[in-house]
Formats: sequence, C-alpha cells, structure tokens
Amino acid sequence: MHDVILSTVSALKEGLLSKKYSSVELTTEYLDRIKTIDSSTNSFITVCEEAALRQAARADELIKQGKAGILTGIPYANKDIFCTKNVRTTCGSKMLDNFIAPYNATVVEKCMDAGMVMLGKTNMDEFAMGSSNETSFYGRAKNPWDLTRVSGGSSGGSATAVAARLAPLATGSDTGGSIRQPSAFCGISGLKPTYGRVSRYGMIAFGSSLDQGGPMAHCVEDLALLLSVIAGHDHRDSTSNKRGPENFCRHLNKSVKNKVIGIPKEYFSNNLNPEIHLIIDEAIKHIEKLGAKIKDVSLPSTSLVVPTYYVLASAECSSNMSRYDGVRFGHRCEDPNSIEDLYERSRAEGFGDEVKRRILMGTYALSSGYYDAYYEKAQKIRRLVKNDYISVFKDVDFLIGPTCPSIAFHAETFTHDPVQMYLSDVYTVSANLAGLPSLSLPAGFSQGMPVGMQITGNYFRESELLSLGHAYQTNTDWHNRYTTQKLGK
Amino acid sequence: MSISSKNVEEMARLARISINSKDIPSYSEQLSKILNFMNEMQSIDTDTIEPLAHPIEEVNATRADVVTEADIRQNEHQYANHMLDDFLYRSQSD
Repeated sequence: MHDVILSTVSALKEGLLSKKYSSVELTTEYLDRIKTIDSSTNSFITVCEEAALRQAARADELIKQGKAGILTGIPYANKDIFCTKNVRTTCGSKMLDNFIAPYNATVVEKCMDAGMVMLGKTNMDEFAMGSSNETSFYGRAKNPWDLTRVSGGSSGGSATAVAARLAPLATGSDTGGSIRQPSAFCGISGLKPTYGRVSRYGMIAFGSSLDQGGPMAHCVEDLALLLSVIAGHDHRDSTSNKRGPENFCRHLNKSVKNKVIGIPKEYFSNNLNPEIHLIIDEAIKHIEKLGAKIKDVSLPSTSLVVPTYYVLASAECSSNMSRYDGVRFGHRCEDPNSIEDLYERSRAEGFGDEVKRRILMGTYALSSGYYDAYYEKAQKIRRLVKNDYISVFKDVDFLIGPTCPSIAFHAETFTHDPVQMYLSDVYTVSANLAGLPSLSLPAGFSQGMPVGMQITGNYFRESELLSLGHAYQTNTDWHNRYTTQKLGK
Repeated sequence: MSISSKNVEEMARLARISINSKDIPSYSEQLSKILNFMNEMQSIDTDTIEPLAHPIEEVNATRADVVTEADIRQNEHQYANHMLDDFLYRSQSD
C-alpha cells in the first residue's frame, strides 16, 4: 500500500476503479499516515477521521454502482478557510476556535458532490495573513524538507500535507501568493486561477478583490482534476465568472510548440538568490527545447507591487475583519460592561498581532485625510500593473520567472520585521492585483530545498497554463521528489 | 512620515480593538516602518490614471428579491441561545 502514497491521482483513481483497493482502505492509509507523521509537520488543525471514513464508504458504494466521477473516493485536505457544516472552521485564528459554520462553502460542496473524501482541515496563517504560517493560532506548519524552515503561507498546512504525502490533493486560497509561495517552498504544484473562476462563497474573506481559491497537488495533471471539480459559476458569489464547468484535463497534452514565453527582466534583478536564478534559467531552457519561443519583456511597475498590494490588502482586510465583533459568532470576551467593551475586548483577545497590525494599517489607509495618498494611490498603481500585463500579453502567451526570491527561510527569520516578510511576496502579488491565473511548479533544488518556477497566463487561460506545466513535468522529475527527512514518531 | 502613538490610539478606536497602553509604542514603530515602505508608491506620478477597484470589471450580479435560504439566525448561530429577539442579544454575564 505504501507505493500508493507516491502515486498520481489518476493512478489512485485507476486503483479504485479496478478494485485494487477501496476508498475506505485508501482513506485509512492516509489517516494512518496523518496519525504518525503530522506530529512533525503540524499540517492539520482538525482531522475528520469518522466523517472521512463515512464519505469513503459512500464513495465505494458509488464506484460499485458504476456512478464514479473523476475524483470519487479520492481523499483531499481542505484549507481551514473553507466553511464546513458540522466541522469547525478556524481560519487559523483564536477568534474562530470554536466556530462551526452553518453551511458549506461552494468548493466544499462541489468536492462532496464529486464523492471526494475530506481528511481534515489544514493549518494556515491567521485569516490567511502571512507568508510563513507563523501567524497561525495553532503553531506553524513545518516544512517536510527541513522542519526548522517555514512551510510558506498562508496555505502552509495544505502544502506540507501534500508534500509529506498526507493527502494527494488539497485546497488552498491565494490573496497575494498564498497557494504558489508555499507550493514553491514545499516542492509541490499549485495554481491560483483567474479571479472569479472558483467561487468565494463560504471561503472566509480577507481581501475580497484579491482572494481566489485553487488546487494544490504533486503534479499539474492532478491540479487539472481538482480544478475541474471546484471551478465554475456560482450565483451565490456575485463576483463569480459566468463561465460554466470545464474539463481542464482535456487539453493537457496540447503541444507548447511555438508558444511565446515572456521573461520579465524585473524578475531577475540583484535581489534574486543567484542559485534560484540559475535554476529558473535552466527551466526556461528546458521549455525552449519543448518548442516554445523565448522573448525578453518588461513589467515596469514591478518595483511598486508589494507596497501597493499591502495597502489594498490591509484596507480590504480592515473592512472584512469588522464582522468579528463577538456578537453572533466567534470569540467573545468575558463579562463585557458595555457593547463597546464587548467589541473592543473580543477583538483584542481574538485576533493575533499580524491581523491587528493589518487592521490598523488598513484603517489608517482608508481614514479621512489619508485615503487619497494611500488607498486611492494604490488603486491607481493597480491599474498600471494590470495595464503592464495587458500590454505584454499582446506579444506573449505566458510569463515565466521564479515564484519566490529565496528558498524557504528558517522559522522566526522575519517575525519581528513585517516589511522584510512582505517583500518575499514580490513575484506573486501582481497576479492577484491583476486577477490573472498563475501556476507554481517545482523546478529544482537549492541547499536541499525545493525551488519553484512561476508561470502566469492570460485571463481564463488555465487550460493552456496547465498544458505548459504538464509538458514541463512530462520531461522533468522535480515534482516526483520526496523528502528524505525522517518524519513522525 | 510616521504613525504616532496618538494615531495608533485613534486607529484602534476606529477599528474597535482595545490596545494595552504599554504596546502602543511598538505598534507606532512597526506601523511607521510599514507606512514608510508604502510611501514608495509616491515615487511615481499617477495624476492621470483612473483607480482600479477590482481586477475583473464586470457588471453587478443581481437576482430576484425572493427568499431562497432559510433564516439561520434563530437556531444556527453560535450565540443564538443568547438571542432575545430578532436583533437583540444579551451578553453572557446577564
């Protein structure tokens, strides 16, 4: 059974359909691994053993009846930002430590309808605000390649769960790189779809104009399977795109011959670690060998994307976080002496430092007298960032660069220096500002740690993006590497 | 530019977060650093640029004004048992 853990999802599906093993057996294998290994990685906040086995038994019944869909009976790990009825949804925060949502997020409902098996809810930075998982109320998820290093964030638990083979698939959410950066740090594949592609209904909001859910997996083929299940229009999300369901696996084997790849010169500045520079250069050469054409391009606003992103994300956060008032749900302080006291102390006790910093910063950027200089200024630069992409996509099909400027850093490196932490998002935030789809793939190793390559495509071109990623992975094996660290008891 | 202790107190009041007075200087220091970093945006002229609020410019989605979901306030909110009337809640100390 152990080989199963290293299989692709297509192979797992084959195993289920050919009755080599049942979904209950497969689920039990993953649950056992979680029991022995997760003490090392801290990937899960909540494990749903009983419910998972129930869902697996139901999936086995569907398979027996010949009613299996593309992911029926396949286990997955669900980021604890997606609301689940009957299972607590903490969003990595003390504020929601005991919160049980009265409904399922659309992403969860779609996975359920597909007959998938939810193993549990994964660790994350508090309310998705962080790049290292260190802001989680439940302690950080640890990088399976080196437990002293961070998993990345905010979808750190999903990344470590997939990397440590505790789940074949995971959901993530990406506001400024939260799927791609932990995928890069942990050596897995992750896709942030076009804004509006995956419903945000029931995905706890951080920066509503930036947030987008997406899949995380070992390889691109598996990403395509999960994206096919979770994408599609949802009338309950007013920003959901009208496009119907799509099979993202259909064009996976499409040739990349003559596709034009843009290399943004700003992504290869002196701030980029030289070893990562070499690894990405190699990956680009590899893609050129597959028949793609390489073109140097420029994204002139790159130097301003991080400050711009942090103004907008903090402003939207301060507005979204105002719902946590201790009245209807979430943490409530003891013995409030007035309604003001109830709000102020519930929020002071329920939120961690980074969330408070961002609420205060966002409040400042939106307040009278500072609005024009910060919030509106950032919105104007956001227009320039989007225009950069519109202009460059007239000449190229994809943009390639590194996902992050460094490998996964050691824990507590930046905990007292928020600005340095923010700067690690330099390559990822612009896809969120512009709303574009963007993929991170394993492309090599530096100091024994995985390095991610980022491929960004034009709006709603996920299929093409995945076919390029798949072509690369068909010709390389970085995505098949597994940590040699001893994990678990 | 910096965010003074007075600014921190004012933002905390607006955001309804009580902050221990001994923590105010460290908030002031950290938020000032972040603000300085954000000020890098001032390096370019954007006078003629239209602000962009949302990445995908689509029209508002609307629906008919009919009830489609059950009212979950009565029984499914965590503190529903503290609810006296539709919008009135009593605090736990009562």
